[in-house]
Amino acid sequence: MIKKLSDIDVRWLYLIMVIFAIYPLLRPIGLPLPITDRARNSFAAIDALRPGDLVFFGIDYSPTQEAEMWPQTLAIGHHLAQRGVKMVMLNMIEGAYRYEERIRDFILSEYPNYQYGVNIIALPFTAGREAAFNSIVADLKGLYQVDLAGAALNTLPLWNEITGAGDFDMYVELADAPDWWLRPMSQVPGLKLWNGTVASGASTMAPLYQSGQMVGFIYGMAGAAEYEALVKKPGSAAAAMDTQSMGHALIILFVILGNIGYIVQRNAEAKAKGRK
Amino acid sequence: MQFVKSKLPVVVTFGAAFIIVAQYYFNIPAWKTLAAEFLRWNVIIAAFALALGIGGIVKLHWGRISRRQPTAVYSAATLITLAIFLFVGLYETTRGKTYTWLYDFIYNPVAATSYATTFFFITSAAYRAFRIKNSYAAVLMISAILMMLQVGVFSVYLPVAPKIAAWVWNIPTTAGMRAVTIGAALSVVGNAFRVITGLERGHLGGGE
Amino acid sequence: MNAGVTVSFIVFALFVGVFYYSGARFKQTGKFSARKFEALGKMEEAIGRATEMGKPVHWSYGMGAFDAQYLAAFVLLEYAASLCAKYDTRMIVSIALPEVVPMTEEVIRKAYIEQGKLDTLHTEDVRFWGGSHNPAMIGTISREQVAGNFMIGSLFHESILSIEAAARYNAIQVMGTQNTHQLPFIAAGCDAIFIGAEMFAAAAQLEPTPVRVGSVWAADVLNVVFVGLMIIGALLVTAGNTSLKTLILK
Repeated sequence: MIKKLSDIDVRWLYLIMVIFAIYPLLRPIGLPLPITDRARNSFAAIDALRPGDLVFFGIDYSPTQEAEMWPQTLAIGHHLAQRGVKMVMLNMIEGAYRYEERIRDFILSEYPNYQYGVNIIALPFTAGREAAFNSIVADLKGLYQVDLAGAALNTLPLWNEITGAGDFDMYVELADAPDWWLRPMSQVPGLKLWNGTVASGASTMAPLYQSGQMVGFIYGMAGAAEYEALVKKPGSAAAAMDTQSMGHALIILFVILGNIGYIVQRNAEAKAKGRK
Repeated sequence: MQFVKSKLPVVVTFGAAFIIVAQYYFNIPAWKTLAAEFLRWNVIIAAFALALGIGGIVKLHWGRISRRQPTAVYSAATLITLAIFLFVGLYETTRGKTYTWLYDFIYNPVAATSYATTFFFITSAAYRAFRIKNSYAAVLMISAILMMLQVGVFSVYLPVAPKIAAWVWNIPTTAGMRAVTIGAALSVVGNAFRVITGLERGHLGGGE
Repeated sequence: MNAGVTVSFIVFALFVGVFYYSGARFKQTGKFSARKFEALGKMEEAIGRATEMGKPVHWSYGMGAFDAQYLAAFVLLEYAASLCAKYDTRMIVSIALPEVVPMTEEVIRKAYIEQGKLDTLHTEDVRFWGGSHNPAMIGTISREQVAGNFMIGSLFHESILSIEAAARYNAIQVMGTQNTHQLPFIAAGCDAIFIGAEMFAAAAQLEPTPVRVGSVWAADVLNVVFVGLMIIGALLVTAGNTSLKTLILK
């Protein structure tokens, strides 16, 4: 019986996991959520921005990562707007434009002090990823002629104030893992780099935060939930943290059960060999 | 023809890369302007590569339909979906009501569902892979459990877990990741140098 | 010279120097040794087992953009394709990027020609899936019940999907990437892996040419230089001296 623990049909695992995932979404448990020092420090980095500072706000994820990244986008969008910074949004991933549109419209509707073209601009999708970022560093004004809605950028007052990437104070990038934005953007002197990414991308980006190349770094649903708490705007990430905690508990349980079964089976096999 | 296929790409690559690399090291304004221009071209070429993808999909699936392969019905579904998105996007732009509806209520849920299946795969992968077969596997399993315990509610009831996890994260993990990154970056430099100088032509369908 | 790039330029010049020197030395001596990569042996084992079972093996580069990893992957693909041609085993290739299709076809064709088995090549087994690579890959692995699963290139979350799909059929799995965010997953789930630069070294080991050997040697020499600089830098900073840091940023 115990031996069977090492060879459970995965479909049973999937079924149990679904139940554990859905239950807290339907009946929230309200488990406590501690805030890490990393989230606090990342919050402090954006909080140190002054009204009128110029910030790039990169939205680089596709719908596949919406569950983790959209709550981050909303929470950070709130914070940037609360600080009153001037925002230039951009996207370099196919499909990310929709999230850029959504956060632009959200900020314009929630924060009356924001007026499109005056203190917020949304740039269109640009292909080429790292090459596109390199192009931003080399000649931002030459790269873009129209905004996300197709309007001429030279009719927007904020765009006419900007001379190039060197004018910006911070680059906030919400990306689905890779660091291809960081290499080009770190060439801009004095530009502070800040990143939100998915949980699976954390191991890649963490060393860059630890070394001081980035002033802020959050990841995954947990990062979004912490940030929601810090900006005092509880949202979908905080609600989903019960599910994540339950999921982690269940995975740990599966790992332990699998190992018990494995050890029992290994001992039985060793004994059988000994008898031979 | 041979010149266009194998020599010209090498000449173009070398010329563009030389200017971009040289302006990184030396302050020559004319080269800087030229490099910015090349980078803009790169963005335009990348956009054309996306169009090439559409061509590739049409060619593959049309071939399947015309050969009446058993999966032809799925190929037809792919091409019809492609045509609908293309037509609506061109007709009313990506900001149109119908296109936004298609994106928000068709593409978005389908893509998110595809990614969400990872949830199941990670569950069974953890169950299957984290067996204490040897000392390496034990280290891997303990680290994984610590990482899970440091997030969310566990860190409240088990305050020591985040501290140990932070050590694992900040010291061995970061050291390992940096080592891999530096090693891989040097290999990439080697490959880039070979491609730029035309010594490596694997990407052009040839060897060296 | 621009500010802050002097050391970078010296490193680059050193790299080029070692690259040409070691390439020329290899041309003269023909000597190149690298440690045995377990992953190469596992690839052969997987194809051998697939042959015994009469099942195909599966190959994918992942969904990442075209980069240097693909160049190493092409050499490893040629190695796997040669073995498949030799043992008359099918290899199904799932591809996400359109520009990789002709190169893949070319590499596989070359391997089959070298084995004198062009007539056994199944051209329809090179499958371009585009954005639907992941579900198509899982479907292919499941329908074909592959005995070996190889994924080498710029991997993202599709690595875990592939690992679990193939694990259901007890496939021998070999993966390799320099995308650090996927290394933990493939290390946990595969029978053998190539970690970052190992892919390039394995490619040089399989087909040692002056260019490949020079490249691996240059990377190795600079690795040693960097380790030395790190140790000296750490000691100096600990002693309160930041002169090396200042020098590097010059």
